[in-house]
Amino acid sequence: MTRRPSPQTLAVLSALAADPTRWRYGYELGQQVDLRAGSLYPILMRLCDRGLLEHIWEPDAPPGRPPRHLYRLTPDGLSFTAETTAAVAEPGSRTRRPGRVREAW
Amino acid sequence: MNRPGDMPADRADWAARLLALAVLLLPARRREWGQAMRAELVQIEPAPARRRFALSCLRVSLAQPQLLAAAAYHLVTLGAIGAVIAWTDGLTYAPLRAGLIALVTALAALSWLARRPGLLGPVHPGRAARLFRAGGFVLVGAVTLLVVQSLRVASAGLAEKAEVGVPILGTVLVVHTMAFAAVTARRSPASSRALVVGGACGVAAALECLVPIVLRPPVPVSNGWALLTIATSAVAALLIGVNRAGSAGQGLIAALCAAVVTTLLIFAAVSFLFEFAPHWIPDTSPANVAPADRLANNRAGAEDPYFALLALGCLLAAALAVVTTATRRPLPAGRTM
Repeated sequence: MTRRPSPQTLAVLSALAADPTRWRYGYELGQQVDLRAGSLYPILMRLCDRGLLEHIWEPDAPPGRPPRHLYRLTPDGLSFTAETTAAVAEPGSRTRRPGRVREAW
Repeated sequence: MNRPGDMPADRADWAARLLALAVLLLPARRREWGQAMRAELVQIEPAPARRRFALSCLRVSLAQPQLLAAAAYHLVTLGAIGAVIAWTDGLTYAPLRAGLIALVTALAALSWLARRPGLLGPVHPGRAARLFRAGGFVLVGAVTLLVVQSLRVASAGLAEKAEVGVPILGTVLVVHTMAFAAVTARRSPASSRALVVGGACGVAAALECLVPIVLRPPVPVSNGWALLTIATSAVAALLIGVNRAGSAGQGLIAALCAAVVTTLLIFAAVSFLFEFAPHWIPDTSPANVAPADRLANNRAGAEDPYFALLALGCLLAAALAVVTTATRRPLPAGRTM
């Protein structure tokens, strides 16, 4: 990934990096970072495409309910999050207004 | 254990139906994500939250580039058919109008077929193949536009044009479309390098032929210079193709691509000049032809050598289509198409 991630992507990465061993559900993650599915899923897809995020199907879904996707950062994703978070925290780094759907792309 | 895609013990409400549509619209490589969205919806209870989630997921599907590209393609195709229907409204000779509409519809159907798995499609994912196909289709579209424009204002020999001209031109354009589709199909043996070499040599040779014509009208009466240019482009592409792509087969494909592109570009440019710039039409009429008839007479005489060029291009395009379909790559293991 060469471009700096959007604030939304950064929020998703930070939420996942807070507890990197824990597998997270998409809907729950979206509620935590205040992103709707329309913004969250493209971010998750892109992170998976770039090898920064891994996903599995929920292994112990109750009978009668389809298994959900579970997500967590890969080692590459963890390093990337650490690097970009540090870069954003640097004085003078450019920040953008969060909450815009377009920026999530 | 439940398996992914075991769908779902969910309510059959508005949100579930909307999400089912959203999943259907996702490209095949993203379908798994659709199943994940559906599994999440099962967990959401309040109806407004379900609706918001489904609508938001639909937005994900609608923003997929593949869907936008498909929508744009269908819009352009239907627009082309609609345009020819409207454009030929003033044609009083019904068989000619029907022939032109059938010609455009056939080309639209062929381009649709070229998006489906089979001999002509889908397009190879590489950038060179996509660009070559798009350029070829645009060129065929431009020639079609010139043919329709030329015939819709014709006032003499309408029956002959409808019974002979349109079927022949239609065949020529269909063969070119098939060649551009076959050589850029996913299973085509053409390498990206062969397509780049063929396309570049074709465009360069056409420019070499056309720039002097544009700078010094009129268009030559003989097509000798154009034929020499086509041969040069084919030989150059053959040599570069063999050298760069590493095999005689790739060199041959590059040479055929170059020759087809050069021929069609020259024909399109010359037809454009004949249609919209009468100053470029050479004066070849005998002295006894009345001034009022001179332009039409000159044009009829000037077009013939370039129609011969188009016929040559059709043969080359047919050869390209045959070579690429006869030697296309085998299917990957486990795939039926």
